[in-house]
Amino acid sequence: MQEEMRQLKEVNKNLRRQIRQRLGDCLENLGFEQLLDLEKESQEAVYIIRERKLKVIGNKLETLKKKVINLGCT
Amino acid sequence: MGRGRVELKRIENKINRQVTFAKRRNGLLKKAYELSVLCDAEVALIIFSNRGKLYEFCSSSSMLKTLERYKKCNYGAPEINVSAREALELSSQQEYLKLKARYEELQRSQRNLLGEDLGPLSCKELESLERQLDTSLKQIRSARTQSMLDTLTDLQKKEYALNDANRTLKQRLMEGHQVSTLHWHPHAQLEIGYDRQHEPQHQTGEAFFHPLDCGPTLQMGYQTDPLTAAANEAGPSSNNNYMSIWYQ
Repeated sequence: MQEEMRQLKEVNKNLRRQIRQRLGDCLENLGFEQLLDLEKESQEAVYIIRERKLKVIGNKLETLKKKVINLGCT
Repeated sequence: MGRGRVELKRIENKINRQVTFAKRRNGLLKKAYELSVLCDAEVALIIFSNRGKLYEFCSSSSMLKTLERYKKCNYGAPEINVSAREALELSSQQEYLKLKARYEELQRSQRNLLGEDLGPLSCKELESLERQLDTSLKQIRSARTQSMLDTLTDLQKKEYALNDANRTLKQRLMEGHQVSTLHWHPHAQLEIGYDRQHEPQHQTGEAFFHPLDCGPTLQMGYQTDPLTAAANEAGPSSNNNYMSIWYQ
């Protein structure tokens, strides 16, 4: 149980560090290769997130448009 | 449960007290026995009546044995120990659960930052996530560029250093060669001048290797200024100097 807790703490520490790096912080000790990888991952992530955001907003727009039409306006 | 409600204090009436004692004593002994049987517990019960008579029950083979066990168990402190231990277990369990919850949170953030598990996120959350990543991309890119510039500067420094070393070596080569050719081909001095930019490759190449054949006692040593050293000592020492150039 103690061992599990210790491992969990370690894992959490690593996750926190990774998250900070993905947010553009604590980049000093990263090598060039690692920076390249990080940039690539973040770029792909931004792309996916933007797509999803546009899709969600688009859906909402569609739904609202239909509602408005149904209500007989325009 | 009984017919009359009994207040919990010493029964004043002697006979009632006695009767109650007998009844409850028997009941207690019976309960102790039942507890030990039903729940497989080691039970010991000691009752001293008001008049000093002993009544006892023990589930194990001997009362002394159970009492020994009681002694080993820290004399009544066990109650405190048990609750302290339980409290400790409870708090470490809570700590574990907190850690676990933190882990789930962190894992979720990480996956979001990778563009995964975006289902439950609202428009606003998606927008803010996108903005965070955009900002961080700027940082990451500038860090990457900086790293490239650093490598560039390093390599440039190395280039200058190596060029310098090359120049020095060539210079020494020329000077050393001039000294040795002076020795072996006195008239060659006229052909080769102190021209540092122009490198007469073939001539230096040929004349260069002649002294090698003639030097049986080559000593490798470090000379700070081959030209001066050569000027001071003629003969084999000139070979000495030019060999030392190679080994510096």
